Amino acid sequence: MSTTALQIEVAPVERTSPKKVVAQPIALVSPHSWATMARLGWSMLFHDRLKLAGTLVGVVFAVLLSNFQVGIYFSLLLRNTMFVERAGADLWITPPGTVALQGGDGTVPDSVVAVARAVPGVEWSAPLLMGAASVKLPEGGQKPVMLVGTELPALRGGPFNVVAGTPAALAMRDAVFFEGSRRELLGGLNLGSVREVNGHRAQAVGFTSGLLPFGPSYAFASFDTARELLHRSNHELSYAMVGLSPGADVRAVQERLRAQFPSQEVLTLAELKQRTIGQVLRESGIGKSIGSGVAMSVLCGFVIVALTMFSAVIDRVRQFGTLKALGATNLDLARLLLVQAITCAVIGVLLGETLVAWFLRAIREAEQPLTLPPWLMVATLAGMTVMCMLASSLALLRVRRVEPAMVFRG
Amino acid sequence: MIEVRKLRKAYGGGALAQTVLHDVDLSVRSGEVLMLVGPSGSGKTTLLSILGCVLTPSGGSVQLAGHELMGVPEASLPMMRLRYIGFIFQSHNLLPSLSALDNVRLPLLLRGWSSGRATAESTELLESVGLRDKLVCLPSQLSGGQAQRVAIARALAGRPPIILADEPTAALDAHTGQGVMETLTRLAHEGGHTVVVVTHDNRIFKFGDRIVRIEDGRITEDTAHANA
Repeated sequence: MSTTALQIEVAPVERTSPKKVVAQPIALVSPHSWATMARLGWSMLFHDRLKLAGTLVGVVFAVLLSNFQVGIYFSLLLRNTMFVERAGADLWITPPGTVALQGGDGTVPDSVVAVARAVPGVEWSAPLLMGAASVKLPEGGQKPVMLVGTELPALRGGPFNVVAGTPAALAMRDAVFFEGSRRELLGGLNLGSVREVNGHRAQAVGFTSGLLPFGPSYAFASFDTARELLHRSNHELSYAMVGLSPGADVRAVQERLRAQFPSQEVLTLAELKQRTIGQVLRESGIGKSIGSGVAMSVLCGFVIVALTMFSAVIDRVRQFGTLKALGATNLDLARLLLVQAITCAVIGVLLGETLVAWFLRAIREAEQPLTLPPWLMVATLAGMTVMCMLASSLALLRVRRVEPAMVFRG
Repeated sequence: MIEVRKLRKAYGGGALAQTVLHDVDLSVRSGEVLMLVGPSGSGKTTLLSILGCVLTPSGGSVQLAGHELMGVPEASLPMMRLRYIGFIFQSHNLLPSLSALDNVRLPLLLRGWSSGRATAESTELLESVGLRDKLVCLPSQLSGGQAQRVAIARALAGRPPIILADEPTAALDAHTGQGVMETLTRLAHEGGHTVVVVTHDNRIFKFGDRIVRIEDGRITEDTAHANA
């Protein structure tokens, strides 16, 4: 090394004697790191609105698809268990092997109703007839309905959700309540319209709303009318419903009824619902298709969010290099990405759920194509947060590899 | 403040190893402004990166404020940078989503300063570089010279003992570059910071107390300024 005097111009700078600079103490673990990184993460996120929109599209897409899938699933289950729920019975006496209330599983003798009423803990028992029936249309052709026969005057077992007519009108001969949302399908039914049901005259005296199981819609008649329309013998029931006395133990009464009717099944409301759901899932395969639909929508959302966040990091790699050069650690930057991921999840879920709610309001009708329980929103938020956090890990892997020395390369 | 002895840096290993710094010795006193000059590829940016704790040396000894850099675990380097180093980059490297004030506040917040204290310090620093009226401006709303002065304020935030500047005037016109260097050297002298400036720009050599020339990874000249 040689020491040479270079010809240099004297700068017009006042030179003072150097002060002693002492490095300022710094916190080993910054108490403000989360807040600092959160603010920085938000500022970066909202600065690049196009990238933010891309990320949100991914989350909203996943929210919409998964909510629609899950909503359809719950709607189908609800519609298939709605009848059992609304009938109000605590226990059901059914033919052996009954998996759902479809009326085709055999019969129980009508004597069970009277015998059940005498069992301790039973407040009431009512017969129910149920079976498939065909409605002949005026323009030709037929439409199926699930005809339910209930005992007057209590009418336990329906009709429910009455939107036109009075249930007491079922006392009239040949009187039937139909599902209101199927009026057009059933040939433009109005109050007083007459149709041929299973070859017998039937008159519409009222309408229900929203009683639409997976299969044909429900129609309600008095027990005697239903017996006639379904061609059932005088001593056969489809099911017997049982209501418990106040304070009675459902399991104890169930055991007593089982002892009383060893050739029938005695099911609690929960057991019958469970069987119905199981049968729907088995027959339709809807559990698998909905489950895979939800998985695909979450996967698509994950890919969109992961790629957008990763691309945002690539675009800002120099900024991350600068942050590292300034002293930010990988942990600090992980916090930044985490805050961004959670923010995207929260905004995306709010936007997505707003769209879902708007959609639900727009299609509010008896069909109820979507049933979204309130807890689903919380579950969606949790799921999308986890999805976004996992998606951000790809970006984090890239950020970890950013060298702070890159900021010195032009 | 900075003591470098027998510093070596090689990239790659074995027969393919490329040595870019050969047994470099360098001392920079506290409060001194040193100009590190030399042709492209001479190793000055590598030396600056090692002094800035963003690159680890292959051999030798580097002491910053009495702390030996060799053998320091990589995980501890961010802490070293936070505590001892302020950076000024060729292109100001301000975060585009943050205002001028927030860019200066950032290293202070990383150091664990409270928000209020960081704001007060940053405002004062921006005042000292003549940008009192630009506190809330985003980098995109500043001229190149203004942005570089924000970068100077950011480098000085928290009073780190060492300021490292990499081509701080390269992206500026001559007049603006002179202004930026005047600001940097004035504040460095007032604050007693040790400053190392890597530059090709011989028009700013005059701002240094010393000029060190590096060629092919070796220091070839070390010149004290006449008025230093």
